[in-house]
Amino acid sequence: MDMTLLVNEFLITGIIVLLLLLDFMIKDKKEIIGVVFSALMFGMMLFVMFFNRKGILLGGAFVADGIAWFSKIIILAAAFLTGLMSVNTIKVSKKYTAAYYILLACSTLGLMFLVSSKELITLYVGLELATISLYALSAIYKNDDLSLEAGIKYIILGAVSSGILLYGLSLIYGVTRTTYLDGIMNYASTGLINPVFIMALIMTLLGVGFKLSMVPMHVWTPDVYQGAPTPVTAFISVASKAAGFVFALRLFAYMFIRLDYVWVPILSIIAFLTMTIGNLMAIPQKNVKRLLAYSTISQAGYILVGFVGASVIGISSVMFYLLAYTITNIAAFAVVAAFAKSTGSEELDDYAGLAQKEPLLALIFMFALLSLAGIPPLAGFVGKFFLFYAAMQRGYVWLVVAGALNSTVSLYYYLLVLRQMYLTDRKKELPKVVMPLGIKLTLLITMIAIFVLGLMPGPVLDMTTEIAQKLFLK
Amino acid sequence: MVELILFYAFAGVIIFSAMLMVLSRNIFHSALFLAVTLLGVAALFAMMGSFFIAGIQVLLYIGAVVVLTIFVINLTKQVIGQDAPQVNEHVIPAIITSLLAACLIILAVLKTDWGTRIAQSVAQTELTDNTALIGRQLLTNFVIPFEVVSVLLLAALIGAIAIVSRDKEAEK
Repeated sequence: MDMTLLVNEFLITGIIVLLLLLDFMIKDKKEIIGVVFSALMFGMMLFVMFFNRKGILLGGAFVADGIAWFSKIIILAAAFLTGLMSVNTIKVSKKYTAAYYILLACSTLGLMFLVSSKELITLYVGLELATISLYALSAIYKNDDLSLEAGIKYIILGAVSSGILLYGLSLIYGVTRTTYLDGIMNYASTGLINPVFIMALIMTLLGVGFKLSMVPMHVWTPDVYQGAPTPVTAFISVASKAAGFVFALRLFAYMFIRLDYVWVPILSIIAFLTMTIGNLMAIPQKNVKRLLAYSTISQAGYILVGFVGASVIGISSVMFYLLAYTITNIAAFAVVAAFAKSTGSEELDDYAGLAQKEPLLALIFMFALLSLAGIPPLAGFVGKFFLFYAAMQRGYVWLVVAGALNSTVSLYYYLLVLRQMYLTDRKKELPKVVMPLGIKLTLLITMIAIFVLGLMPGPVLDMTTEIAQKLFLK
Repeated sequence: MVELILFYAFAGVIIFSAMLMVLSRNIFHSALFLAVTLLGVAALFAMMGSFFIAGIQVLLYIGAVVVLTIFVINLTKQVIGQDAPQVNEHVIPAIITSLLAACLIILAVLKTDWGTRIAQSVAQTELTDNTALIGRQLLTNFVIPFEVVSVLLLAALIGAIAIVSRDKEAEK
């Protein structure tokens, strides 16, 4: 047994303990904990990137394969950028600053276990660790009613969806008598399919769908995104979603691959609904965080289009899009966090005339939104192109047409924001937006990544394709 | 035969008390019916020979979770009142969807071949030394979830303290 495969997880656990100790040692300057957290997460990201060990532990319960490696980089990058964004913007009192970063680290640990496990109990425990930390993080502004509302909505709906997921998983165990994904895949390949097994598959889809905020399990998204602290919203919208998609990849594109005649039609309809409802609901939004929340729902719909696509290219395009989406969304939320920190407002109307006052901030927000809409030289375009290409390969032309139409709709409300910033005059005087160093660094890193991924997607795409191919090789 | 009768008796108790838990107007009674439901589940575990799980069920769920729930109800009585209204405004749609879901599940379960004979032989081999087997499995094949759960408890503790405890600095 090669325990060194677990080194990343051991190190993150060590970081959690270190942050606890730092809380005792540092009395006043609690921002240091945030800086230490971000620096350690950056270090972990580089460590995972360059010490890429592959292998299997505990009879296939824990794997370090390409998908786990790639998604761990995404998760750690998201944790690093979230930490950087949080340092100067969160409004948590000194006493609980450390708790904020410890919970963030716990959630990161859970997500890392989630993407590495190929066994149902490990998957479920990792998922719970990640989401329970996020429930607490959403409600951490305890004197803010919206934050508390976000916490209670997230925990109740999350518990219901976890219950459905667990029921589905236990039925899968009941039918197949194994909790290992490989064993279940063998069972699903025999062709002896029980009705209960199909029902369990649908229940699992519903339970996972909550984490991905796919329609009809999306109702929690706008309220939680609006109420939670902005960096936490960014983390929920990227890291938790990325790990959720990896979970879904392992379940559907791998374990249930032979049952694709069951889940592909269901998923294609859900993808269509998720894109369309997310986009249509985003148009009338007046709060920027709610608008971005509906935009992330529609983004989840685009990613589901990739699931429907042919297996290898589908997985490859989903992995690539997750990376592009992560950096773009973090950039957008960092702008919102900086704006809210200085002006105390998240309303779209207050963004009027931002371009005259803060040309750079408005420009960055424009690039982030255009990348989300999928405009050519940016990362979002390449990602979306390959998602739709994957669906075309399997002949889902109607879904691709719907996706293209949806992108046009999404461009409409992104342009509404741009019109506010560039063409509308400022109605009331708001304080100047001060950008702390953490936010500046976050924006700089994400902007470089958006352009690099958009202009030179080749190396990363080769990497994701190789990862996807290796998944099916024995 | 006796086993079958016992099973249906316990299942009836579980369903009946679960329904009473949801429908009861008094939240304190709901908590007590929850305890009865969990006790019924423990009895089912014991019938299947999983005495360890049955014991854990009684100790943890009834001894800790339900007792904690009753504590919370008593401590927050002034805030929410004893008879907090628990009426769902969408009773009829809720009943329809629940019935449909129940029908679907029952149909699927009835149409499935569960391979009962294999299950019986598995149960008989495990009956001999169930507890030791659980312990060995937890520390070998399932050591990762076993350890991750301890981090989960730490995260839950920290989260609960950070949200619930009073914060003088932030109130200013």
